[in-house]
Amino acid sequence: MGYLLDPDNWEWVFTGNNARFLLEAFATNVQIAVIAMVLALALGLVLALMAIATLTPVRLAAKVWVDVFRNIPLILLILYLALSLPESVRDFWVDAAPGFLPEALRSQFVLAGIGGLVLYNSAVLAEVFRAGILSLDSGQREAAAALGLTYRQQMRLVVLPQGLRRMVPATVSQLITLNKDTTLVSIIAIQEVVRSGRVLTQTAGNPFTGGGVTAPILQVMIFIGVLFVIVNFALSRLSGRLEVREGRRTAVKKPPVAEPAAA
Amino acid sequence: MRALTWVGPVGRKDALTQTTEGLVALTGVRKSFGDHVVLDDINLTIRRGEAIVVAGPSGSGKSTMLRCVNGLETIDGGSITVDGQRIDTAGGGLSVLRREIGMVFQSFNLFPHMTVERNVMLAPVKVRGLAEADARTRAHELLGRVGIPEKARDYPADLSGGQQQRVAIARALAMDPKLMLFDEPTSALDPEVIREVLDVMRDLARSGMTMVVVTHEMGFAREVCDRLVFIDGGRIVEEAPPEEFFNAAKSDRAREFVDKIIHH
Amino acid sequence: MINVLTDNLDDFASGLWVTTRLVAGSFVVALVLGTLVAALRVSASGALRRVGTVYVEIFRNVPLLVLLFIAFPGVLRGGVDISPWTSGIIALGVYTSAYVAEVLRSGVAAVSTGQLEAGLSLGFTPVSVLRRIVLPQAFRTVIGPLGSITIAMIKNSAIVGASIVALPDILKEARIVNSNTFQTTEAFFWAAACYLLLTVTLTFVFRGLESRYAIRR
Repeated sequence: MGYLLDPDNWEWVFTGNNARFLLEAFATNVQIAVIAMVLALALGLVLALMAIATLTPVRLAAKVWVDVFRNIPLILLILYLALSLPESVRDFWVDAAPGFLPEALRSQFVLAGIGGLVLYNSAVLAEVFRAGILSLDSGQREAAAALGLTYRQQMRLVVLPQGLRRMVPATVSQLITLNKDTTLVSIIAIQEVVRSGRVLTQTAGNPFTGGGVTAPILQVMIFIGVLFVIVNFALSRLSGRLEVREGRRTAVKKPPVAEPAAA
Repeated sequence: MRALTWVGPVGRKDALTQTTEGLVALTGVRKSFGDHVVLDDINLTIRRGEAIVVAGPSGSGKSTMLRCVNGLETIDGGSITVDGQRIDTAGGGLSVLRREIGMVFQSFNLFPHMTVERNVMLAPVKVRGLAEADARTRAHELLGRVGIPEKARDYPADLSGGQQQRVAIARALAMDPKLMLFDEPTSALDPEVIREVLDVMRDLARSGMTMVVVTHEMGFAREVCDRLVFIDGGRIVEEAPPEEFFNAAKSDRAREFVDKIIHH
Repeated sequence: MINVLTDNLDDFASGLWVTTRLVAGSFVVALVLGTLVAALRVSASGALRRVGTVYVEIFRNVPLLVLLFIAFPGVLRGGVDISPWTSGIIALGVYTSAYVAEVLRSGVAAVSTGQLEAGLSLGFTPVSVLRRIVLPQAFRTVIGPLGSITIAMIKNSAIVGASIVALPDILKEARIVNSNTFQTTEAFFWAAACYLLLTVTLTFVFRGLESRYAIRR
């Protein structure tokens, strides 16, 4: 306990630009999470619609995709993509990545990192979506059909608006998971917060920070952990709020949508 | 409650109540769920302007029959036509035919994420391509007719069951249907609000709307319908005007059913 | 394809064994800690409930990779001699315990208060009502969710091998096979198959438990 709280071991936080260095790296994690989330949501929605389609091959394709990518460890997926990504593709990204992206997101393995996150999360979110849609009372679609709405209209106007609303809590909890999972891309040499934290522990007065103190890894990682707890806790609170507001407005029965378990 | 006069787009009442032309025809309709036969050789013709009540013990197949008429259930044999168009073989064209058939469900099935007026406007705007403003005017008019003009901006969850069901009726009427189907419209309602829904239905029938009503409300049947169809075990056991049915049913099963209801 | 498996069967087998032991050890840690924290979360004392809530919020929101850095190099640097095994099991166990605690808590909450009142009115003490009436019923409703958590834990265990803790688990062995053979797709395919073997087996185990202990209502 003495070691943990010893002010000498926390001095690095207030030295040079160390804290700012970590915060900026953490912003990269959040950006990766947001990009991957947007792509995974779009892909997941398509997969969910495929999974409830009437055409068997379409349904089967969605099911295979979901079952494959949901059931293998994410880190395995990321490592595999990084190792099998052809050099030409890596070089292409380094050249072609839009300039407004932070430097960490223009490095060579970014496509593998984000690709892995998107594949995995598209499968998880497809299941969340599907459950949200199926939890809807069948009478809703029947009523829409009885009014003469086409299949697409039934989906777009009646089923999805309600199904998606029910998905909000599960989606936010998946966003929290995704946020945590962004640290995994440190393993394929993308300069996010965990990797940056290790930089601080390895070089006293390192070129990035200009501080003169070596940061102990225990304290650095606790600092990073706190950043995640703050952001993710805020996200889960936000989700709770949304749920209450929605509930008040439409009094939709609270959904039996499966929360994605520890992932 | 004041009497409501239903004025269709062409002032149907006079023109249509007298005609004997069949609007709906079920011919030799069969349906099974697995080994269980739900509908067994159903033959029924419904004339324009006629109000029919379908009665029978629960599980007799009456709701299934109704749902077949607008294609919510598929059938295994026979044919169903509405206004000369085949329903059972319509396939992708079903949504076009359904525009002409209004349906009211036991559980209302209002869309909870839309206001009452949006519920009523949805199909006219999205299916008929009516302008928003026209659809809104029409929606308010219909909500007035079912007696709840003041609820237009509320969400369904804020309404009582009886009010929700009246909105559901207005929603179906907004498409100017040729035919209205009611699937046990009062079974999910508290006793004190059943009357307000039945009154709306009665006035609709008197205005000349062709209606098929699956219900246990025999008072309504006696007062309103032109013909009562009694179904048991997936077959039509008896068809008769209500007075005849209640006083002199021909079949044992129908008499048993009447006895139970009268001595209830 | 198959020869990458047969030629390196020893590696894959030992990786499978390491992953199995890691998951089994972490499961015990997660269950013990999770039960304790769930008990805090349903206790009568507001302070204890708050401690439980803070625990859950911390460990549910922090990345496992960060916990691994804390539990291994962090603790080592703090002067505590800890083995990679102990670190890996504790980090994965603690991380998972937050999820276990939540499942157990909602399992207890799902047992109707009527059951509790019935127990109390029969003269049981609150503790024995919890032990004899509430927990046995809660256990049955949590088997399914516990199964999903365990399966997630198998997948998360790969992070332990890929991190600085570097236990020679399935994924680590697959990377060794890859660097020996340069057959990346094959090596990772068989690694995925090994993980699938574990998750599918556990799915069946939990499904069996669920049907055996199902409550008929």
